[in-house]
Amino acid sequence: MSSSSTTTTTTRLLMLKASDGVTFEVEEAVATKLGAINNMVEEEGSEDLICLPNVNGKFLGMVLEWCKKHANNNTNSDKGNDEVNKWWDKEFVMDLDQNTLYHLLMAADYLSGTELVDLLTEKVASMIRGKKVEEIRETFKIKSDFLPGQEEEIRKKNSWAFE
Amino acid sequence: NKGGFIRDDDIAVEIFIRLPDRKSEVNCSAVCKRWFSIINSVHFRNKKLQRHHSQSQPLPCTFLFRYEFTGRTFLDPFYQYFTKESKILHQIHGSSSSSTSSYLDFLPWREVGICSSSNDLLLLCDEWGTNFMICNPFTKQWIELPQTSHAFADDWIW
Repeated sequence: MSSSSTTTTTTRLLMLKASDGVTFEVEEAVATKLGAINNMVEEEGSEDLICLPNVNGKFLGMVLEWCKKHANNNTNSDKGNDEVNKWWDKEFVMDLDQNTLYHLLMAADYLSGTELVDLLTEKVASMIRGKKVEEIRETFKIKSDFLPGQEEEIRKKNSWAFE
Repeated sequence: NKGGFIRDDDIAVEIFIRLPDRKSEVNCSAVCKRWFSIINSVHFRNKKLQRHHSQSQPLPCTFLFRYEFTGRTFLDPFYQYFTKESKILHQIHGSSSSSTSSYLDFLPWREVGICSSSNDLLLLCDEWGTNFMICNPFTKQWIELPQTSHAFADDWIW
């Protein structure tokens, strides 16, 4: 977040328009937690309406909800804030189904919400962690496309990892 | 729907670098061709290292070896300093005598001395201390180093 945009217009409101036409009115300080929005604000300056043709309203709403929480928690300089954020992040990703997780991750990545991408990729990694190959395929609905013998070769070369 | 919902390569890399150990990575690499090439790419390795450095996390498998040298015989490294987790990784659970002797038995040399360790790699030498190799005991890979000059080898103190 650049200092110029926060000091001059802390309460400035931005309109964000999603691909399906849904619009969100958000404080600039909240929206600029997203790198892409921050760049647009800095480049275009006076523009108050930002169109985001690659993000659906449902997921833009979720991304902004996350930004709002983090922006609010960061303004009051409390020591417990890190803890609050962590707790809230945990809640945020806990019950996400795979479809939502995917679209949210794509939206966060497109909007350069670095911290949110971090949170979501961490969540996906936790879904892989400690699982066997078959379980990973099952979880992510992936079919093996190895030629006959190729997978066996990987297993043989790394037998220590498959015990 | 190749690669499931992890369709974007950059996102896939971001996810895989967050896996905590090599075992998870290897299992991922056996899921499908795309995951295999991502996990075995130089790009992935570099990103993983970068992440470790930026977070100043210890690399996942750093360990300390101590070994004894009596006369002309190398004794097996002492394993009591290993954490329980490392012992499982190194497959040296069970009684010490039988399992430790098979620890580095995949190597072509009859006896090895452990000169040094760095991250998850070992620098090993043969029983005469003239030939060296670098070995990864986790993946059981090894590569022999080119011969050093005799002058240098003679300076090696045992």
